[in-house]
Parts: sequence; structure tokens; C-alpha cells
Amino acid sequence: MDCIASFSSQTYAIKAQRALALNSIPSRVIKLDGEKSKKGCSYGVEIPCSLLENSKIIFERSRIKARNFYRGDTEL
Amino acid sequence: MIYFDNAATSFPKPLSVLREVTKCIKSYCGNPGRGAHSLSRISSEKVFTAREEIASLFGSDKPENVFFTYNDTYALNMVIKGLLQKGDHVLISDMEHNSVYRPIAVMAEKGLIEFDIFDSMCLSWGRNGEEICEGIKKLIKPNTKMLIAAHASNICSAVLPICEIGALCRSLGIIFVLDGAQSAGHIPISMERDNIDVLCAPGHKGLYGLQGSGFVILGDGIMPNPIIEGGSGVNSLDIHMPELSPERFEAGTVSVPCAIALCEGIKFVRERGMEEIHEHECTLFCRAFDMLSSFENVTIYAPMHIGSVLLFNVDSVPSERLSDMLDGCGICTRGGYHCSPLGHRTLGTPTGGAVRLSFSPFNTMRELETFYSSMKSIVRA
Repeated sequence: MDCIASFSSQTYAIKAQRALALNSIPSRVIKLDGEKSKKGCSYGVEIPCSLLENSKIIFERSRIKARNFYRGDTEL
Repeated sequence: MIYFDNAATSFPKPLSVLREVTKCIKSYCGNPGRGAHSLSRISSEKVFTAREEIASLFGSDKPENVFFTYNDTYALNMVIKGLLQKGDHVLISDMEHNSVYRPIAVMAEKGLIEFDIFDSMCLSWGRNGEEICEGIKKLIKPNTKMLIAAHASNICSAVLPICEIGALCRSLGIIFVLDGAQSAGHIPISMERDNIDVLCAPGHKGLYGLQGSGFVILGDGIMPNPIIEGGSGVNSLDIHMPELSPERFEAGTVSVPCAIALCEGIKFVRERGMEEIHEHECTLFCRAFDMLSSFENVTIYAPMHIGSVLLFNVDSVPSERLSDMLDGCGICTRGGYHCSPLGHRTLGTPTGGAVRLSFSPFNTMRELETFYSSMKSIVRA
């Protein structure tokens, strides 16, 4: 199953995806739905759950702030 | 046709710009930041790459702090009106374009702010940053919030010592807004090294992008209020604009062709080399200066500053008339005031303005020879 990191905008989602790509972590930018998009039109990055912890470290190092993390529809 | 009006809009554009814009319009120009289908995604990624190129060229490591505008005037207005509050005091230079002077003067006229004009010492031989900063210090008040300065003039080749001015502003907690209209792409600018809090610049001049493009780069901790509201592609159910740049400032669709063109234009500047571009323009300036100096009835303004812009007049010929006569010879120049009444007052040409030649890397010595021949026939007539 894939995990999702949500961001404040598509710009930050693309920035996050590029930081992951630099570290050979595959991901893709997606538009979020349902509970993940309470304010409407939100974006995130889909990441293999096995690489979620590594991804969090990369975000921190790159000073990219994720709003939330999800496994499927469940907020982590 | 010979084009010497590059300070208004550069022409022609590099072929790489034309190719990428055509490719964009033909193959992938979806709406960026809206939806997640393939064309929107490709467009968004291209726009992000443009932000990265811009940030990198100007010494910022935060592409998200770059937001696009329609031109430099919009960029400056968004910063001025988004940051200033009632009671603030502002300093501007005596060479500012109306893109700064008008919004500031009108805000002052409405009683919202007050402002003073500092002396750029544009006509002093051997001026230095220390002297200019001493003049600035004398005008600073307890409520001075912002200093706005045109890095390079649009009517002569004077360049302000921004590193010293930036350091002074940083030491006093004054927001330093740099207008890079005539310097971006010509002279190196570093947000970090030069202590710039906000940089505004157009895309269509020295960066070889399209008309309808400009941008702002915000320094850390600077977050203006948005002055235009509307669709941003995120948080659509909230009536307020998003909290963060760039979406906070980009209401409505961002022009992908403009962003792509700007990105390619910057690559052209990098490949050609800013130093080489500047050197070429200085060489043209010096040759044009020699040519114009050979006429007894020609006045050249602020000739001590050598660069891409040369301003002159022929005695008793109105500048617009002279520019029109040159146009009749197939040479594009610009007469009048160049939207810079402050600058013309500073240079001593407040009545009638002057004729401006402004160069680009695409101009040649042969073009100047043609200009010289045309000037000879005009002046003799």
C-alpha cells in the first residue's frame, strides 16, 4: 500500500517530490480527496509506505513541511 | 530594422526561448496548479523549474519564494501595497521609475504613508557607496519601514551600490526592496550577498522572456498581504488566500508560456555569461558615445556611467521628433520621459526628456555604424 504526505500547495508537493527523487525515492504528486482535502483542493505526494520514514527525514533535511501523513485513508 | 530599445523590451529573443514556448503551446500547455491530470502536472513542473531557475540566478535557495506577476510594475505594486501600513515612512532613490514613484506618491497623497527621496549622486564622478549611505542615514526616521531602489537606472547606465545599501538597511531593520528592471540579466544580483529582502524584476527585458511576465523573490520572513484575490488552486473552500507563497500571490492562472520563456531566457543568460553580455553592451556604449561626441550640438547625459543605456539630445530638436526621425531611418529608439520623471529631473532633462539608446547582446557594431550615418544626415539637416 502507498502512503501519502500532504502539503500546503502543489508547489510544495512538487518541491517534496524533487527532494525525494534526488534521494532515489519514487513518488508522484496527486490531488487529495475526501478527509485529506477538508479545505478543498489540496495536494500531496504518494510514497511507498516502506520508504515513509526515510521520506520524513528527507523532508526535514530539506526544510519541507508536510501537513499530514496517511496510510490509505488513515491519518498517521 | 535596428532595435535599440531593449530597456523597454528586449528584441529579438533567443531562439531557444522561441522553440520552448512553441513546444509548450503545441504540446503541454495545461493549467498549472489546477487538477492533477498529465498536462496540468507537466505545466506545474515546468513552472516550478522556472521558479528554481529564477531563485538560483538571484542567490535564493527557496523556489517557493518566487511568485509570478504580469510585469515588474505589478510586482512592485504588490510588494509596496502588500507590506506598507498607515504611518510608515519610505525612502526611494532620485532615479525611480513611475512603477515605484507613482504608487508611493499616491499613497502619500492619501495620507497613508510619508516618503523621502535620497540622492543617488548619479552625476558625481567617483561617487561611492559610503557617501550615498551617509545621505540615506540622514533621512531615516523612527518609522522608516522600507527603502526601494532601482538597481540600474532606465535612463542612463548608473548603478547603485546595492551591497552597501543592503547592509545599511539590514543593520537598521529596514526592508530593502530592489527593483531589478534594468539590471536583472545584466549585472549579478544576490539576495543573500546584497542583503536584499525583496527583489522585483520583469521577465521581458534582460532575461529575454515574454511581455506579460515579471516576478518577485521574497526573502525569509517577508510575507506581504495579497492585494489580488481569487482562485489559487488550493484551499478552495476557504474565502482567504493561502498563507504561503507562491499561491498566496498568484490569484488566477499563471502563464506557463511566460514562465517557460523566462526559464529559457535565464539559461541563455547563463550560457552567454552575464559578464560577457555586460562587456558587449559597454563596448557598444563606448562606441556610441564616441560617435555622438563628434557632434557639437549633441548632449550626452551622465556619461560617466558606462553600460547598456545611453541618453542624449540634439540641441533644439525635441526628443520625440529625433526618435521619430531615427525610426524613419529604420532605427528604434525611445524619446520622451521613459516613465521616469524623477530620473529626468535628477539628470537635468525634466523638460522634453531625451532620446535613449539601450543595447542587448544581439546588437552589433555594424548597427551602430548605420545609426551614426543616420545621425549625420539628421543633424546636418
